[in-house]
Amino acid sequence: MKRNLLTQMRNEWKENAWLIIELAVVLSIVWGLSTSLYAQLIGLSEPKGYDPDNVHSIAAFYVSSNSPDYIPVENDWEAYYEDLYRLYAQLKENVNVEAIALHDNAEPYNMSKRNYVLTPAEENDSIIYNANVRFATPDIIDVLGVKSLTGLSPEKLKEILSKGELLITDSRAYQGLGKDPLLLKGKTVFFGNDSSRLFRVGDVVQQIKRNEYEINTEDGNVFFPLNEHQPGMACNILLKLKPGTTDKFYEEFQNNKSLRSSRNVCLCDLTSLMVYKELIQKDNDVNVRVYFSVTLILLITIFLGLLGSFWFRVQQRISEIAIRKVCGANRKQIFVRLITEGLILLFVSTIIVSAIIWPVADKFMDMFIRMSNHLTFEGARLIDDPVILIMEITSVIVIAIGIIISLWYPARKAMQIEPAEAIKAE
Amino acid sequence: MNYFRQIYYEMKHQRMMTWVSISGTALAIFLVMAVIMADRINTVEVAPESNRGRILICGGFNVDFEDGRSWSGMPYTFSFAKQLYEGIEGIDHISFKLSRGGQKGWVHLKGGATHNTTRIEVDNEFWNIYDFKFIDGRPYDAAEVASNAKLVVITQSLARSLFGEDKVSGREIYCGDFPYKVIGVVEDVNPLLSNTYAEVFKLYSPAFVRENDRYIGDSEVIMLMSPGVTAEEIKSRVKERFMKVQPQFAKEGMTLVYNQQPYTAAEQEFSSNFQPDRVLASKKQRNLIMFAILLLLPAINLGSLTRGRLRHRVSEIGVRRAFGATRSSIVRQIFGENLIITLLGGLIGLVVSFLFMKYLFHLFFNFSGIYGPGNLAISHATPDFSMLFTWDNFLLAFLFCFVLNTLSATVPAWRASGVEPAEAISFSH
Repeated sequence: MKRNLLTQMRNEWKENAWLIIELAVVLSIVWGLSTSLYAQLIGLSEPKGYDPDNVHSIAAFYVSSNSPDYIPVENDWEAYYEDLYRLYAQLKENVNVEAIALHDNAEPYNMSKRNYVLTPAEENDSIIYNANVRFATPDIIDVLGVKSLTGLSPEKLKEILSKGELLITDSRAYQGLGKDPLLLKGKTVFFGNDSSRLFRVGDVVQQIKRNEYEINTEDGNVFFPLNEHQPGMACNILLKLKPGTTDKFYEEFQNNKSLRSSRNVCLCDLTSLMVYKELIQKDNDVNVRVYFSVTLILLITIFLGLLGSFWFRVQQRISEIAIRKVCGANRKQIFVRLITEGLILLFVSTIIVSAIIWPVADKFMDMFIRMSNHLTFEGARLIDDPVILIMEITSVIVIAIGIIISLWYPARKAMQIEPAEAIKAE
Repeated sequence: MNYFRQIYYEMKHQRMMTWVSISGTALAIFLVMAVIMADRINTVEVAPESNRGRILICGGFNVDFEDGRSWSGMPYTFSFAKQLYEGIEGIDHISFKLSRGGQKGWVHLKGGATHNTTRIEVDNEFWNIYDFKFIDGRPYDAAEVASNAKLVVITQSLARSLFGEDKVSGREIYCGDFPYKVIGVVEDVNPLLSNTYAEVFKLYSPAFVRENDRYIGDSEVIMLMSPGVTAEEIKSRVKERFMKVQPQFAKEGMTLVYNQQPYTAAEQEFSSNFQPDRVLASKKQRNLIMFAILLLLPAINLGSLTRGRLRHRVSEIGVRRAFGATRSSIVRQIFGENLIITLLGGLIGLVVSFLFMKYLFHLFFNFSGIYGPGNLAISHATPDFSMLFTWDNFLLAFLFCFVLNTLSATVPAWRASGVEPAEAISFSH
């Protein structure tokens, strides 16, 4: 029977050749897209280093002295710190607020970077730790749910910041230089070339990603402690609300002017981190949806072709199928025969595609990687041979399932053929 | 009438396969039209950008230094912009706009909570170039710009959320920490119209901007061409101006690079590239290849479905042939019947593409670069139906249906019409 099937397939070689080509094109594109998708999505499985749930950001601005609304003060910076602290302390006391921190550049989903170089003071080491510095008051630990890599409790992390010590994060870039960030714990470091100001690294915490798709390749992050009374710089606010209190707090913030302004300091732009997440990750999200959709559309298109071809074949072979039935073939055998024919076509396509693509797999996958704006070098590096193979097998399985589904209708029609009627027609 | 009766019978007897054909056609037309409509969002002419075809944008200039450094896309000082663009023949209006367009701006009533808005700063000529619909008040005029008055025009939705009503001209709002008088209220602008989208339009008076450099300033320039004038004519005149100021730059060890300014709506997207016309041409080429693939693949598959459907009609075709029908008349008949099915599928595909663009566009397209849009309004923006229901789109959909039908029906129809009458009549399936 198997031999018969192959002979029959050879007799219809023209159409089969076309279907094999079509399947080969679709398989190679689906393979490339799924491999690229893997690299795009792998970052989501890595810890992001914070918990954005119920976290909201508030911007603070200072009314300029040219404004008609400016309230004259003796010293602008002193007045700024005083008023900012007053508003901050008021929010800290608010029943809906779980934790609050003053910060500059500490919010996640923010692509800007404050780049500094961190150098260990006691070692004559040319290998440096590149860092994005996040300035914040100690409560940032509770607001963002920052986690220690050495098992320290949040209380202990806050204590470290309160003492004026730094928290640094894990950094794959630093590891790439052959250094372990954990070994920096307890060391004295300085920023840039300013060796006159030394800081102790209190602990190493989980890497803080700027975007959840990001693969942990970026430089490290440093939490630099700020004093809530005298932060030393213009600050904004991050706060974590108690679960279920968001609407209540937003309403209160909107309606209560004293919660928003104190002399020349005004708080505004209360926004959930989820909004920033949506905005900053929009291009990644769109990219992933488009890749999925293109794959799906390609599959539908090829299945449409298979459905049409096999439907035509069933009609062409009515009398043959009828004779098979008369000779004792059961409905299941007829069904399996058609499905096998489809799967043989896929098998041949897979061999052709593998023979062509494997020798140039790196370049082929690189083509798909380049189509995505977001794949970092690290993302590309993650696409190694086992991943490429797993993605090929997955693509073949998905297409095989599709073949079975699309051939179900013509195969069912073939099963229903009544031998007597079909042969009468002849 | 025969065509419709035939399709009716086909639908009755081969319901599944006829609907599969229609769905396949719908999918192909949906894909092509969605890609086309998304591509045309940057050029479609709807209010307030009804004159898009005549508008030219000059965002900035490029300079090369002798030591290999370069500047690109630098905004102009008012004086330099006038030197390059003012008084060009064939230009009806020239407007100066603050180049940091689409800024985030906090707006509030005195003592009230702040609203986060998108703000642009434009001069009085802006209102002559773009056709905003004023619901209340008026745009600011040349005299007000000349006096650098603190005036703003705001959108209807902002007026409603600040004041609870539309008629608010004459009232005061705070932009940041300064009070401004609302002089007019305009209809909301779709965020996809990137040159006009804003909620606050602040009066911009470039003459009052302190210039710290001879060339690099704060302004970009928008020009409206006279009817009948082409962008190429204006570009050649602008190029002459660039050449005229070149010696001035040479004295300072710089070369002012002419990069095909000013840009049409279609070129604007690529204005940061050198030779945007070439980038645009290669994009067109890429689109053509994509449309060919989007139509060719389904056409081949639909062809095999058509062949399957025609298999049922072998004896009918045989009878027709026996009674003297020519091959071409049979091909015409099949082609016509198939065209109706294709048009039905095409219509479904077109409707689906309109609905997709209107309701799901934001999930599949990002017009805001890799760091995402500035706010949720831009992120969730979808095209208005007025941006989609254009004659061009209907004509293109019809054209693609015709092409798809030609590709998918001609070969099976020709093959079916070649059947020998005697053989066909003996075949009863």
